[in-house]
Amino acid sequence: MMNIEAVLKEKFGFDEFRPGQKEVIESLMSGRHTLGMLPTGSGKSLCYQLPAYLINKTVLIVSPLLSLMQDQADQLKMSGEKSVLTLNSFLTLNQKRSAFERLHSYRFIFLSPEMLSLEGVIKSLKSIDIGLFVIDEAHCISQWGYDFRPDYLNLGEVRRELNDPLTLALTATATIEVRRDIVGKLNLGQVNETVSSVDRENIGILVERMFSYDEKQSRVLELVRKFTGSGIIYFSSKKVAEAVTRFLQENGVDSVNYYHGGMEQEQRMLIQQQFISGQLKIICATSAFGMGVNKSDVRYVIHFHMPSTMEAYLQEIGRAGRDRKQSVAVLLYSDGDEGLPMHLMEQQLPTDMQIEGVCSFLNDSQKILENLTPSEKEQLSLTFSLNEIQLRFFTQLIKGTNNPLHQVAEMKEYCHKRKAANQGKLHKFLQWIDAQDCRRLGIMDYFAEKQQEVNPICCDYCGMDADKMVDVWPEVKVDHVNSYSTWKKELAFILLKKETGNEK
Amino acid sequence: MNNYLQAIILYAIKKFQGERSIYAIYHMLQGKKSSQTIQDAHLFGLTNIFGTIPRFTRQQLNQNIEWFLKHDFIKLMDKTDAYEISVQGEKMLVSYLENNPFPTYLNGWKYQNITPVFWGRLNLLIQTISHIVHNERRFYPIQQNPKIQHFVKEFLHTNRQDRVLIATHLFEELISLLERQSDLKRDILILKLTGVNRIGHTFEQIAKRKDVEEEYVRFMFLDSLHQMLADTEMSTDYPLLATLIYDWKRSGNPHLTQSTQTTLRYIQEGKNMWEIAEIRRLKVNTIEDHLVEIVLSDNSFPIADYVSIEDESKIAAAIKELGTKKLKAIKQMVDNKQISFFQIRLVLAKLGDG
Repeated sequence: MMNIEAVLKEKFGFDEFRPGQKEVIESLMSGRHTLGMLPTGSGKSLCYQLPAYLINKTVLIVSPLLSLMQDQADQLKMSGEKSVLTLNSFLTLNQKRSAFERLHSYRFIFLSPEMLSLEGVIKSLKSIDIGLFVIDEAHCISQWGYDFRPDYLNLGEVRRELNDPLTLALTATATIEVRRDIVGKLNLGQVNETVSSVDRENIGILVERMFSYDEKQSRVLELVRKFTGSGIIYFSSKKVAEAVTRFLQENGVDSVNYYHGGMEQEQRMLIQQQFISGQLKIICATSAFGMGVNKSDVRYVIHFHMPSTMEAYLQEIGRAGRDRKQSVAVLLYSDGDEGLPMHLMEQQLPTDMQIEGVCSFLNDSQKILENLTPSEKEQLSLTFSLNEIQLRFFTQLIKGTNNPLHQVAEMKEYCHKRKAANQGKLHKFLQWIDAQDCRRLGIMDYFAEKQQEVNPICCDYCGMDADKMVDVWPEVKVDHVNSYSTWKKELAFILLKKETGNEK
Repeated sequence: MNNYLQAIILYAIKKFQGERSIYAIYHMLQGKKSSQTIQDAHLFGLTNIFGTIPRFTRQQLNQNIEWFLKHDFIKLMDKTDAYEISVQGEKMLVSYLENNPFPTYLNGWKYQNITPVFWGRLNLLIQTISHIVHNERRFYPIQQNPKIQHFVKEFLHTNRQDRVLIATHLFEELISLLERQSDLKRDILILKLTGVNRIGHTFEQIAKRKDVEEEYVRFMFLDSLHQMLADTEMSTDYPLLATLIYDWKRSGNPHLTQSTQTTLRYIQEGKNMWEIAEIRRLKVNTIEDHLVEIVLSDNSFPIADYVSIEDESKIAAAIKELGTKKLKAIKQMVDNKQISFFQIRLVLAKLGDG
């Protein structure tokens, strides 16, 4: 067998593995189904990318988010890999047809779970030799996970149809229950679990108690003046993200902009790329920002609003310090902040009344949900005031011609359970905020982990604060600011190579 | 006046002269591809702003209408939801546009479909060439649309010359095109570009930098693109940029709605209006709309089958004498029971804007 370190060097240009990567790859190469839990930003995707060059068969990757999938494919292509296919609903019929004809020739095939439920897709996939079946963000399969996606429930069946291929389930954050659920739902049987610590040692963890919106706002200003380098400030509300951006700009913080799902695609992409390139220092974002954003030198993550679960919190602060240099996460909490995530969670699932309403409507009109036209769906949403997520809930759960009235009780119970589980998670996270105990131990405790070594730069409970963080702050390279000369010169900078050869 | 969007809306109200409801403005700015909106664009001389704000919402419209009413910039007409500009409004509009000139090259009706494609291709091509020329092989494509990415890939595949040469040609063509544009317009375009070591600016960032309104920046950007498109179309001096829109020029008439194209096919097969209505199970009125739309997009289209040469000149004379596009007035003027509104609309369409 080829030396995996040699492949790492040759294909990816790295000299050594990051924690967890080698264990996962070796486990896969010995032919064992593997569940890999590696913290955000630790190079999860390398765990399936590298084996592809050893197995020399197609690697199939199921990814929950289109943007994430596109991103991973782009990054592979950027590193020179040409044999990449992304299968999603945006492809034209012709593109799909030609892709399916050459399916066997791809090294990497990315697809969204809903593609797997399309007729013919499984059949085509069966005809090729799948060396590795990868489920990214595998916690999405668990109803008790913080990011459940009903689409993922079919993956066990898909695996069976594909003849039980060698499988890698990847996740960044999963409690023991969720990991058990992943293995069970995927029918993996014997599994080798490689679980890295959720602890990000180089991120100091601070929680600061605030008493008003204004106090939070001025604290953010103080913090961004104190901290150098790139930072992300997270919000639960688009409006507040924009308002705080304006506040910072008005107070002389120039290099800041907002990012949220309500922006046009092109403007969003510009902001994201400006941030990655260092042209923009600070980003005020909703949780829409971050998936697939590969930036190693984010120095701090501030939470203006609390996330709704410990898992989401870790995911978000995990975007800091991927270069393993000292970084910090600051959560600003004031009493009542939990109202917003509570409200957002409520809206993720339909109410009993909505369930009854939709089911009896379908029964009375003898209509099948899957066959409704877009305008009929819109009408349905309007009648029962369903948001997009709630509507999707119904289209995913009511399948075929079964009498939907028979499903009412089952759906209600399911929603009650999920709501209770979500509230439980929020409650646990609140407890962690309130706890008079080490933050780091609290996080590890949540994932049933034991701490190995005491961390000298730990958390607010262990004596750290923002000022002391500044003393251990890594040196930040100050990039020259892009100044604009004349339009002609700018265009020349972009398109013409300098003759004098004074480039870097 | 608060902002440029208001100026655009007020401009549209002025042009409509109270003959359409405010929702016609909504459809106009959104670029709704219905026969009604397309005919209105020509009838009221609004082809320039057609489809220039696809993000425009009804809510935005209503808020601004309320504001205008409160400040007596507009007056309610007899019809519901139809307004006319007031003397006060007219004054404000004129003085506002003096300081923020109306974009002169804007041609939404003609370029609505090709503009985002042209920009996407130009944007990604420049980014790609910029990186290649500076020996940077890795970069993140700023345009995510797979069709745009495919186009640029194919472009570089077909044009196998030296990359530095392509870059130089691209540079020269852009310089020549931008030399003809205003300072503000070319700065906006350059600031939007992404290349090696720089990511393009958002409209909001440019607005802040230039100390003008965001909506104004967006319109000036469109104006810049439309001017480039017009120059590229008209001249043979920009062969490289012309290849970015070659497929658009080839694909027949991109202005017609799908349904109108079907009607046009039947006409070319020699079917008459009534036959087409029958085959397509549409009202004859609808087919009439299609015909007007066809003539609007091509005023050399023969209309003799629908209106006699004699009637045509009578109608044309009436239009000229009255100096209006109001159908009722024209019909009264020609005073001939045989001449229909449809025939008047056809002649109006043939005479074109102005």
